[in-house]
Amino acid sequence: MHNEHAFRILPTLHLPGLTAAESVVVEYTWLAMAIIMLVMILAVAGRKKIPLGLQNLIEVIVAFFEKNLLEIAGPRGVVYFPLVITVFFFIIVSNYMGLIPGCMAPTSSINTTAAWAIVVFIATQYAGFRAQGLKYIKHFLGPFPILAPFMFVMELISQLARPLSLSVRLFANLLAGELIISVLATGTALLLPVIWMTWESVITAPFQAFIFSLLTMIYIAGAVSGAGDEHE
Amino acid sequence: MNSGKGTEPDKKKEALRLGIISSLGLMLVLSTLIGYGIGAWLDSKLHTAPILTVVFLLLGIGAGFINLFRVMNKS
Repeated sequence: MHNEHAFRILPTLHLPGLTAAESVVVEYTWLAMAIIMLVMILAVAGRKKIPLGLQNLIEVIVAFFEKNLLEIAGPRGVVYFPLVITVFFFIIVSNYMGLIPGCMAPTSSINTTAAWAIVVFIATQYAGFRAQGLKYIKHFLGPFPILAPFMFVMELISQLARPLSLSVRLFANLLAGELIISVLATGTALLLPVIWMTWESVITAPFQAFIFSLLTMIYIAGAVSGAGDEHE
Repeated sequence: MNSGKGTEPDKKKEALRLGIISSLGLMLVLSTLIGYGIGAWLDSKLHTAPILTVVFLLLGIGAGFINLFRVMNKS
């Protein structure tokens, strides 16, 4: 997608209704899903009470996020843990896929990240209604009844802007990373692409996944807590 | 270190605030764009010339600033 002549491990299927570039992103999304499912199945197969190896690694990550979600969003928010952990694993796997020659990171496309933003938006609104019932709308109406229609629109816009900012941040970071790699790899000093890819794989990939998940947790906490914008 | 930010409560609060603050600039811009987008789309559907675009643009800008003040007040 960023370079038509790049070697890619998946063939470009032309999925109905999508351009070639969009099809490529969808295919690598499927690949990411397959990788995650495979890893999870392997981690869980033959699981032991005292976890070792892959099971242990996954358990550490899962426990870390569950603990964080409980702290940030409270008991009413922790039910959304499957969403948060899925977001994290998908994004981190996608980010690392960008570093593998022949693969692309699905998260380097605004389509993928915006799709996640929409999911997070729907989930937060659902969480708000589920936790507070119809009173959740009250937070949208502002301090004075006269201002209600304006406040509603403004609240809606800012509720939309928050997940969207997540998606732009993620996609911009990943896209920049891929572009820099493709520029550096055109035969300048060999050390530069290695240095950059080390930075990307150690810092950017997990950190961006973490930030997306963290802010998702914060938005869910805000929706569930009843004070509207407790954390933001 | 990859996905953890330390275990002390202070470090956690700092990480939370860092996460929130890093969104601010982007959210100001995105709120404005979303406002404009909604306004322009409604205008194209309802043929109300530039009125709705302007109104929603202003609402979008307002939404961005409301968010900004809310975050600033919390800190």
